[in-house]
Amino acid sequence: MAWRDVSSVRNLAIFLCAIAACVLAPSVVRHFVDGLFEEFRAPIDAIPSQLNDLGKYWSLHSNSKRSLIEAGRDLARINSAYELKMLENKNLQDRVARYEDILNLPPEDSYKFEVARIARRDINAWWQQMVIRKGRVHGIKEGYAVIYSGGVVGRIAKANLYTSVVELVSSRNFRMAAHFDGEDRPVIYQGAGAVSLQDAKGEVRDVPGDVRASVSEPRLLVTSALTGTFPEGIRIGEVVDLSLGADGLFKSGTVRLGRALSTLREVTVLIPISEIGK
Amino acid sequence: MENEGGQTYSKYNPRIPIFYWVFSLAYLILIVALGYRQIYLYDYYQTRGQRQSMRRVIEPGTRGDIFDRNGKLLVANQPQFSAVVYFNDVRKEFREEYTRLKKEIMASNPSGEFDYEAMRDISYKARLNVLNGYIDQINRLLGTDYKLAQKDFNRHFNERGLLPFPLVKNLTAREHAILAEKIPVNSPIQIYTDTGRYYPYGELAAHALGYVGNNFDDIDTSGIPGEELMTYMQVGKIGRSGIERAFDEKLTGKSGVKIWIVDLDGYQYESVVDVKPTKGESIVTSLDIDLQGAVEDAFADRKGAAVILDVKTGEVLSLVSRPSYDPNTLSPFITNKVYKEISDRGAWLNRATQGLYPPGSTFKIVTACAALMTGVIEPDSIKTCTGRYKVGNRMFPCNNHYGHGNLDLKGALKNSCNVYFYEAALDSGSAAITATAKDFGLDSNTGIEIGDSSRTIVSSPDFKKRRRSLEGPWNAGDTANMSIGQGYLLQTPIQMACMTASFARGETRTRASIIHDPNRKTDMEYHGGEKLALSAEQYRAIWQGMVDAVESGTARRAKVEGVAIAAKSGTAQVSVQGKKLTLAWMVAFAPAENPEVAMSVVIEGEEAGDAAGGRTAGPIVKAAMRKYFEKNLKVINPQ
Repeated sequence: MAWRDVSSVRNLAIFLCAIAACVLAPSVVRHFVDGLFEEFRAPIDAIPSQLNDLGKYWSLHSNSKRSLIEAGRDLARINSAYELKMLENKNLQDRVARYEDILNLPPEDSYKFEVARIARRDINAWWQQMVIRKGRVHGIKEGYAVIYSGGVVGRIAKANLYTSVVELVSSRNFRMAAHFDGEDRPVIYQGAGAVSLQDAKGEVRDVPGDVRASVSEPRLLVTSALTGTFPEGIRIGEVVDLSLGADGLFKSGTVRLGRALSTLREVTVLIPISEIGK
Repeated sequence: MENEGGQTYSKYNPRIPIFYWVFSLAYLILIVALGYRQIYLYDYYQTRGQRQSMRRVIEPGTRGDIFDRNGKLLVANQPQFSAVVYFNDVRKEFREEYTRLKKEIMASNPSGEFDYEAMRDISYKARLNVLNGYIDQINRLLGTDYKLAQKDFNRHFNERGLLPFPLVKNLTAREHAILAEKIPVNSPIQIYTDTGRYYPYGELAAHALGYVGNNFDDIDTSGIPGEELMTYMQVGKIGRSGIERAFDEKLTGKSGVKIWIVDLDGYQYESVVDVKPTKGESIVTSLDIDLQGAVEDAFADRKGAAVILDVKTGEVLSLVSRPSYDPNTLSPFITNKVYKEISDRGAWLNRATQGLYPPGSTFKIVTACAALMTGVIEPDSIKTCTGRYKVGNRMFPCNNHYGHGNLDLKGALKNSCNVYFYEAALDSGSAAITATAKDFGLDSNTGIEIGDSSRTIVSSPDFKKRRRSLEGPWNAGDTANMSIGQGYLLQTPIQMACMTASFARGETRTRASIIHDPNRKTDMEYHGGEKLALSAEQYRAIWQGMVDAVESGTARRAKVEGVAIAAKSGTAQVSVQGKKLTLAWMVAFAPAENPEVAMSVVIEGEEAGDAAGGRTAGPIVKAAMRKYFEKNLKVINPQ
């Protein structure tokens, strides 16, 4: 009985010592331990996602030949459409290059696209983050832009060796320069978090007084290339209301973000060409 | 009493009660004093405590916008972004840095003692180090080299501690975007938005619109709570000239207020009152910015002024003063360089309302009215011009040295014959001309809200006696000079425009306004004048002379095909710093039959003989009339 008492006190003491060590440890040590923990935890995040992919792969084996043939046909159609688009894009890129050459413009900053699968999501009232299965070894660094086919996903908040944490566009800690589609006056976008059972939203502010938007006539908010993080014109969301502030100078309003954010399986990290190899 | 060892003790000592009473009294005094302070003076101490622990921050409202009569935005507000920190947000860092610095100094000099001065220096240095850290962060992000001035910091910390401290002012759009995106949301560095005045049309109508300056302490705080508290004021804006000044009260928004509870060190602790500022009212001016642009373009690089009025309402459609300046360069403050550059060009003066010029032959309209009213001439009275006229022992020339020959009133106005008016004026006498000029309001203000000169002169024997007594008494030569708008006469372009508008309506007064009011009264009572005391035939004679002047007389360069314009040109002589120069004048109204607009133009000559009425001012009248009638779709055959 007495031994058990001592044992329980000892465990408590060890626990308290560990907490004290965490609190009192120098920041370098804490940072190192934190990084180590993330690296060890990375496979735990990645394995369920990879198992999920594997499961999907095997489930496809159960499809009939007929459905596979139909899917193949659909895919062929889509591929031919994409080939046309690629040709169109190449022509446009050539034209841009010619204009740059004629006007002696420096080449437009471009990006390398690093496609990454999503390993884990933390989308709740507190956190608006996701973990992707690519990290520093793939050239990803903190602050890089993350997008998907429907627009902005967020920004890399932390890059581990093999995984990265993405601060989502809906997070309250996410703020960026933006502008309305078809205009060049800069406005500020900030995530507004998620309220349970509602879609994620953002806020836009510093909007000039003459801009109007409503639910029936929403305005598209897109990224600005002013800061060099995002390329120009990527969709952030739709502004569905704007109201004038008390100073009568600026409007602020709500941004409706894409619904696909919570169901994404794959995203693209934009790595600036100028940063490759640094 | 007890006897112990031969000594006697008494249980009762009569001095003890005295002590009891003394102590009781002392306690009583203490209790009463305590009660007096705690209960009776409760309200007093509570108010005093609040005063010591509360601070009021006043934030001026945004100024209202200014529009032209067609709703075009002439003056607006544009954001001015700054990167700021609130001292309260970095208080912990101040303390940590202070402790670090103090430890460092103690380590290097263990025996050293810290007096108040030394501790204060360490404290300032610690704060500066922390803020420099933030400036470095901004410089890294923007690739800039901003520096923090210790003097600015000290002054701000001591005098405006509760207001945001600007690390970098006037951020560009790119800098603003980068900082908003790359500085963490929870960083003490915040983006502060102030407003600056923006004039989209630059130099156009600059004198009419005016400009603003910083208002450091003259902010209206009436009706704002916390009057007794220590108050910090954000810098506001105040109108310095033009409409910005005349309508400052209307344009200025209502100030907002924040009342903070502060701790012992003066850092904000809790906000107890937060009233947001509101934007000032907008103003719709009577200006037509397209017309203004056309007239200013016609001026090119010439110096002078022009005023265009709506004949019926007296609303100012265009108010030009050249040279001009770009009010955007005067906001948020006027640099010495800009001030000097504008001064050197003589561009500060609003020549349209403050410029005093002899009106030259445009004044012959007044002389003609006076002569007709006194009956010394009739519309068909013929006078002979030989090119000069002898008054006393002095010869007065005509503009045509060979003489105009025989002329009636219409011909005299058409050809601007001086001799005709010398004779008519000498016959009518100076008093009649002075009285008519005063009837037209040439000796009083026009009523324009932005103010006009009250130093205009309508010459008279009385004036000469009072102001030019050294030049002897009034003589016939003075009357002759006055008849052609020379001598002591001094008028502003806006007064001449008002006189022209009045004549166009057949009345004596026009009240000018720079505010557009669709419901404005247009009757004689509103303008404050009377019907001109001329018969229809007499009026028609002057009118016809002015129409003929445009058709084939001295004002023919103002002719616009398809529009009948009535005009009178003038060339006045002035002496500027011993140099004889000329002023080119023209007054006009159109359409002649049913007047809608009246205008006056004056152009200052810069070299001898380079400015002459019809030749120089005519094209400007033409450009203005063309634009007005084109815009109103009234040109029959535009060229």
